[in-house]
Amino acid sequence: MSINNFKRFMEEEETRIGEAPNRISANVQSTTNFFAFAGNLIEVFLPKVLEVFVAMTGGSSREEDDPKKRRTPDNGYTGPRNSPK
Amino acid sequence: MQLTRNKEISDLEVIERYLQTRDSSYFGILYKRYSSKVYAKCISLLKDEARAEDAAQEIFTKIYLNLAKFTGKSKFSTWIYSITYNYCIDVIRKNKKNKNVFSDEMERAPDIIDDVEDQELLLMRVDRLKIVLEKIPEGDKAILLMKYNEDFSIIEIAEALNKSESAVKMKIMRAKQKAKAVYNDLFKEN
Repeated sequence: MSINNFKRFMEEEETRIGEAPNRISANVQSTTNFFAFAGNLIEVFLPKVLEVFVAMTGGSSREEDDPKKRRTPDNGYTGPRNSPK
Repeated sequence: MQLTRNKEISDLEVIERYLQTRDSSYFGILYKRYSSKVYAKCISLLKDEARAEDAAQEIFTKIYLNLAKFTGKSKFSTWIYSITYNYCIDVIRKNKKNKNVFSDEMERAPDIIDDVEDQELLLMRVDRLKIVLEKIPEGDKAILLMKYNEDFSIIEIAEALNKSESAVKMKIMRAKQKAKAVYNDLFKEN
């Protein structure tokens, strides 16, 4: 089996250089934390923001589109509780 | 970064667990396994500690953002190292005035190219090989390391460099020639 001195060269380089500095780990962690936070934020709030936007532009929310949740006498809705008689 | 000792878990399992749970300690395991190798490659190619630190940081951010795209078709180490070489070559190119990093971009190709036997390079003494690799263009060094240190296939190198397979074969041939010429200039007695 032939000797591959490229591998020996790179092994020597890795030994000489040693571990990656802790600064890199800290920076990578803060970057990944930021992306994770931004991802969670989008996941939680984006649907709500879109719903508000749809309502503001005259559309109906998903809840109102659902016939089961629509407030009609068929669904037992009898009007506002404090409506004047 | 929180690091967990999980030497028995394969890279692919770690990635699957990370994607299922989004627990950053799984990404920490991958970082722990590969950070020193990625950093060493960055220093070796960029020859500057500050630039190598920035590069390693960018490379791990890329890995984090693209982890879901890793399909397991190749080894995870191959995927990480191809991102590393690709990024470092981009950095070298951006920092050069003429943007040429490979021999075949710098010099006109000779009419006849003699292929250099792999053994001629593989059997160079390590101390001499180190000098030769410092003297040849950075792109040539990167492509020779991809082929002989990482054992990348031509297809894997082509994917890492966004080049065609025939272009990669030509670059390897020219890089081998350049390395042999530098070696002969420096060390051949006759």
